[in-house]
Amino acid sequence: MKRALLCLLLAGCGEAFLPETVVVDLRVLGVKAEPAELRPGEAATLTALVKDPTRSAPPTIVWLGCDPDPFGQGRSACSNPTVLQDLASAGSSGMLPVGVHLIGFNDQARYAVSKDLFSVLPEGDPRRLKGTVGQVLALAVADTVPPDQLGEVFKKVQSGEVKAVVTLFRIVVREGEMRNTNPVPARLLVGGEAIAPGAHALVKQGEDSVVALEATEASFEPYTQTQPDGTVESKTERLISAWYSTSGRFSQPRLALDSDVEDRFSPPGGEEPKDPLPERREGQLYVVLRDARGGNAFRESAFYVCDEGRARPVVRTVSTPSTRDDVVVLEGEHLEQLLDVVAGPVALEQPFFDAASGRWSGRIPKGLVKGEYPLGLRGKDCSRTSAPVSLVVP
Amino acid sequence: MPFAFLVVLALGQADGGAGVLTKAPALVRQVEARFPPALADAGASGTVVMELDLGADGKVLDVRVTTSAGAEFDLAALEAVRQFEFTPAEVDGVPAAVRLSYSYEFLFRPAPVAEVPDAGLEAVFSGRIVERGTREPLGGAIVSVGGLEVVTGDDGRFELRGVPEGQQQVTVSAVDHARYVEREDFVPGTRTEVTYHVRREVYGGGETVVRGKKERKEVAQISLRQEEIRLIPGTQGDAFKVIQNLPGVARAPFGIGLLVVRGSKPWDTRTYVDETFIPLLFHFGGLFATYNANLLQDLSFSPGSFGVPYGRSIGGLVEATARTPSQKGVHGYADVNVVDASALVEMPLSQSWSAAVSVRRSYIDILLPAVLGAFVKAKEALSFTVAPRYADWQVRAEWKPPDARKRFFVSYFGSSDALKVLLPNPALDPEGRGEFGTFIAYQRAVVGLDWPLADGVSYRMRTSVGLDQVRFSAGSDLFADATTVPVQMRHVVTRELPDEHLALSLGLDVLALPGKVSLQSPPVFKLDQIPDPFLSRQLIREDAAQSAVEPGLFLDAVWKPVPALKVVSGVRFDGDTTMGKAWVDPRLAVFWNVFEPTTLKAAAGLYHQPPDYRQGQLLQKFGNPNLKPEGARQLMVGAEQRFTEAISLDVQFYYKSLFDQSRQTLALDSGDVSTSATDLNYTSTGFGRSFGMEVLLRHQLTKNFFGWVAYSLSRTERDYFQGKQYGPSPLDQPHNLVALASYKLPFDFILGAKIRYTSGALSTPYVGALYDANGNYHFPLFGTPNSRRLPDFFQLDVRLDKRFVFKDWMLALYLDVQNVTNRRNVEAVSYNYDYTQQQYVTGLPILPVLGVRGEW
Repeated sequence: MKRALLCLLLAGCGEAFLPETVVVDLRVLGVKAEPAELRPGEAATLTALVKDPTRSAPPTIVWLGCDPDPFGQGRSACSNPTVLQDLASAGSSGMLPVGVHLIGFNDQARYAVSKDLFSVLPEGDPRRLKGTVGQVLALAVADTVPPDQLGEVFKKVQSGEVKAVVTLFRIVVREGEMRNTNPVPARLLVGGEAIAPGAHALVKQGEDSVVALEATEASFEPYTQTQPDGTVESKTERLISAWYSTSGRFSQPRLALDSDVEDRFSPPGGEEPKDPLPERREGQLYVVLRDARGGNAFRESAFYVCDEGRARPVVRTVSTPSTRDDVVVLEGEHLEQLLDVVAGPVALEQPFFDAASGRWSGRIPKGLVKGEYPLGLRGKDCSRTSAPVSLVVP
Repeated sequence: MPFAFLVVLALGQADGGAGVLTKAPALVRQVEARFPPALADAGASGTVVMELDLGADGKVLDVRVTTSAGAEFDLAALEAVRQFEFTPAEVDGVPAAVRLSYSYEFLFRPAPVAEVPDAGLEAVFSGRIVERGTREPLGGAIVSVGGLEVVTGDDGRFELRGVPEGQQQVTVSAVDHARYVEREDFVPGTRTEVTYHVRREVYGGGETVVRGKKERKEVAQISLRQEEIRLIPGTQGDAFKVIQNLPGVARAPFGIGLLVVRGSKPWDTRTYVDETFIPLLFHFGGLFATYNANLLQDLSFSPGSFGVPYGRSIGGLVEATARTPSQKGVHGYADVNVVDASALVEMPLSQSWSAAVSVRRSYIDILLPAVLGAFVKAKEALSFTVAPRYADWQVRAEWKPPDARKRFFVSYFGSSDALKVLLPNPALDPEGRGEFGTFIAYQRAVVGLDWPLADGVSYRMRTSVGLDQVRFSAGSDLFADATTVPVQMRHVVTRELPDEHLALSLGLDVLALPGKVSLQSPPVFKLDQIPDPFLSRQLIREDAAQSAVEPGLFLDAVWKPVPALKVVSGVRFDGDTTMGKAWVDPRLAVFWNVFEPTTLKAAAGLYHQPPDYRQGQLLQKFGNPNLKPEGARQLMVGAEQRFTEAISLDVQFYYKSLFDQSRQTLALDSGDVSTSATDLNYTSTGFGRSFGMEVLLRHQLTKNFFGWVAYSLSRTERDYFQGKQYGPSPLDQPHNLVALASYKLPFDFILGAKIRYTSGALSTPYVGALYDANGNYHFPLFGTPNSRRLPDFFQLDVRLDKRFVFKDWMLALYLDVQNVTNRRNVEAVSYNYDYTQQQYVTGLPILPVLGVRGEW
């Protein structure tokens, strides 16, 4: 309705595009550097949240780095559209533009800064503290390319035969004591319920769920910013979440964590005709957290569009594993409708239902420490119950 | 007994000059024609139609018979009419020579039986004749009763003595008005005082037209009259919007109020009201002009090649002249439509002084939040702390003695547009700026004087002081705030040298722009540079006290060595203290009246203007104070052909080359970062050209019809590819056709229609996009600039007016329907988040606007 009203007020509108939040093919959703900020002479490890629901194999990523502009004027071949338009062509011929270097492949990428970066500036020059940015390009293609055939990646980008995404990422490089760090996500809440890592978010068809991501208190870092008049202002970081899913719609694609506006997730199969219920009623939620100073973090979770008409799973017994590598086996009724078994803070991994025996099995997550945990049961019928016995982790 | 009435017709002038009749000549001395005795005995009747040339003083200079009623009637009519005297006619507010057609009707009636006059007991009949609905006095009306006749004066008053006793039929005849008949009882020794409200034949348009001999100096000027402006569909009667329908003016995207004249950017065209520069022509989005069109006497538009009296612009020129407030009674109107309400009151203060006050205020700020709130959840809606609102106001007092060529006026007018939006979820901006506001306002106080200094020497002065305020803000730390107190002085002395067939004008035209500007924003990125979100956070601030003075001096000469040839030449000196630059602009125009209805014309000139300082192009940190003035060379040739008194054709060809244009610099190509860059934000290296043809086939407003067909064929190119070659300008619009017509129907209905066809706008295709992982958005990679043309534009607008005329006031209903065919015209292209999909953005669907207007 808002869209229709705005169309009437402003001008005519055409048919709506697929929202940015819906991931249907190759997408780069975020990039993270660790550490989030560099000093001259340091290096950062780079990771990207890259998803492609059309393929089971991971995409191929080629990482390129550009020298930082020590004068802080933003000059870089990595952010020059003229250079970028010819980048694929140059790369496929093995001749990268001046100032562009190969720095990684797939999940192995590091960006290093010369120790002498600011040597062109005199000691005490405020530009050393204000800093500059190192620029990184990530070329992702929806194909599997061996590391020894890098030129193929550029050719595929150039030819457009498979989907490719070119991503620009900047890392702040400066001198000084204070250093920005990446934010740390805490709880992921769907419909007010904290989703345990590895578990599904249960959502109901035709019913919106409020989604939220929390961050640790330390993620809201204090920092200072020099105003144009020279005054130094103390500030606290704003963390902004960006939401994505393989189906369904968000009311707010982006939301500040301290906002009083709610973000509602409309599961697939609702009113939107272009958003049908997936065959297996499942999908993925992704959320990228940014602190606007170069810090980034990701979080993802599966969601399941539950059906109250299904039978409720009932667990009678739970096996006691003798080692951490033993499979945890559950017995009872209607266990084919069991979606997740949550042991304390996390869900059991590699869930499997054996139709022949009627048993449900899962593995203990690596992060789960020794102890006794109550078992939460989450059914495809939208139920949330508890097992009659606890799980003892050796 | 002869009976005569006056008819004023539109007639052409030898020099092709055009002006607007602002005051019709009124007959003040009528000499009754001798009825030829032989014809009286025979009971003959006849009508002699004559052509009268009146001098600027209202005296009859020459009379010719154009339709004969026989030699004796002709002779009698000529004898009488040569002794007539009229009040001076005025063209564009100035007494002028005009040409009239006058019909003298000889109607034989038996002479009344002679009665012995009894001076002590005669019946006296007096009163006033006014127009029904407007209460405007009808001068020159003929009141007939009992064989007696009298012509009303300028104030509509009359008096007859010795009216026959008893009930008599009274008849009132006036040009363009229905015959009025009434019966009155007359009693000897008493005075019968009446006021008759005589109905105009047709309301809402076509009054009689006189094209006076106002000196024509612009080769490409088009003048519009108030009555024409009101009837054009799709403009809501707004004079300034009418300009968008003239040759040379491209249609702006979404029909917003930008004047793109001969391919020039909007900054290149300036608008003047009473020779005073106004900085904002339209309220938000071009809804309405910021100056009330109902206060205008006329409006002239020059798409180029204008003379030296105006400088500081290299594109077009819009000149509006305010009219003298009513000197004949209290008049006004109140108008209510879907977006705003306006009212005007004007009145005489004394015999020479009159005044007018008008005001307009939108109520979008009241309606829009309520409408949005009804449909959208409060937390998700755009929240307006100050919804879009606009207002404008005009006050004018003028001293103008009757029949004098001098006048003095004081006027104060202004405009204000404001908007403040609060975004409840400001997540797009990492700093959380969710409050955006704009405020644009201007005010002007103007003093004007027109004064004849001596025989053949006149002086004109316009001095104004203003206050311009522009404020943009996003959050608390991004803002642009400019306050200027513009002072403009124009003094023009004109000397006519009849023996040399020469008129010289010397003018001083000074514009001072003292003020201050505060601007705090991210640094200016290069035109093709991907904005760096980290650099964007390092705000830059500039506080500048400005004292720009733009002195101008011009000398203008109009020379007519032979009646058929007129040469207008001049030179203009201008400067700008901010840039520290001065320039000289010579200009020349030639008119050759080859035959009576055909005039050839040509012009050449040099034009300069300061770069767009409103965008900060002359600021130290955000612009470049060392820019050069932007320049243009303009050439034009054309011809005007008059087919009838009402129908004319104007064809012109032009070429305009642009040089020293301010342009934003581009990013460096190479990745070399070993030295600090020192390149500027803007340089004066831009260039371009525009050429084309403009055709205007026009039917002047007559009693029932007016309209025009305007066609522009043009090409506009600008420098691209780092200034190495020409490419199509984003403002290029090769074909632009406007056909409009308005016709007056019976029962005070007026029907109008307008068709507009233009080439589609140019756009730059995207060849891909880069995902900015820090900013979380896609930056498009541009293809060849302006290499794709969007589909053509077509729109049909229709307007229907109905007027209800009451004794002392009128009620007008109007229905203005835009885009009657509901065509989905493409205005722009929108893209999905990563620029892999696109679709057209279409303009407004069919849009009916209903309005009510009361006039008194």
